Amino acid sequence: MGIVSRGPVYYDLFEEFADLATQGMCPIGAPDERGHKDGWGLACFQNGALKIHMRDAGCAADASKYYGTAWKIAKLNIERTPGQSLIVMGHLRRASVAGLVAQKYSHPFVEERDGVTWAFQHNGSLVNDPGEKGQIDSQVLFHSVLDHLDGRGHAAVAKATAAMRELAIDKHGGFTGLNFMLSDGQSLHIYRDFQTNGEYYTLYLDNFGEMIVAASEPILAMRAEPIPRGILFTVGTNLETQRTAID
Amino acid sequence: MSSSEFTQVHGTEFREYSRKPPGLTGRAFRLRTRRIPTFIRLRVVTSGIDASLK
Repeated sequence: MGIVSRGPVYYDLFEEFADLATQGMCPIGAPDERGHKDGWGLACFQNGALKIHMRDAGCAADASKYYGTAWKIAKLNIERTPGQSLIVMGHLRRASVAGLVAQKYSHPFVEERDGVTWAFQHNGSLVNDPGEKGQIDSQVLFHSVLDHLDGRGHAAVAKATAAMRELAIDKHGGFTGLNFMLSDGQSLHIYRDFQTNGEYYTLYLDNFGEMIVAASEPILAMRAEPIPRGILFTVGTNLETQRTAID
Repeated sequence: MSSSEFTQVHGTEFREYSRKPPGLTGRAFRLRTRRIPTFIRLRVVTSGIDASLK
């Protein structure tokens, strides 16, 4: 889930999101016993700066720390001060490689490059093990995006996304899903792509008025049509949206 | 008011909070709606469910 808000990000969204850990869609096309219980994470940028980053292994729906962090975020900008912005990212992990379940593998990942703090979360996997010691494929993809960035705006991220996609195909044998969300606190970038199981690798985007919500499945009566494959969406803190097709 | 009547009147489902927001006591539910959330507290009575909006 990713949210850009000019007001608060209300607590009910986090409750609804945590339900997906046990009731969310799984690769078989329906919820299964494994669910998305291998990890969870939340990141929150306030007015461009990373304010909160918390993650852990395990199931969000069972984690007091998840709800405590959610409540901390939900209390931000309740006054709806003009000019304030919040960007929130949330992830529920279903590990694709057995054994790689640990706090350090929970998304969103956060890295600093040239003084800019970036947060990244991903759904999908590379076909071939990237073979990077101590890193899962999502981290490899994150580093690939960062390595190809020559700016922080929509055009730079679109270019880096295309390069990362090419690398995933040429070097790692392709991917199941390449769905990701990326933020530097000024914008939220949302990308949906898949080579298999497009019914599962979905992303939805909807405008709730004072905030825009993106999620892997519709929550709180979101729009029922997923965003198209291969299009990068960028939502700014003014809620203006840009889009570019990634070739 | 029964839960099904409540759903009919408000046009939405509701679900019990996993972790109640601070300040809410008793059984608290959230509406599954895109509107700004409204907390509801439900009081179970012998004739059904008595819902009050907060």
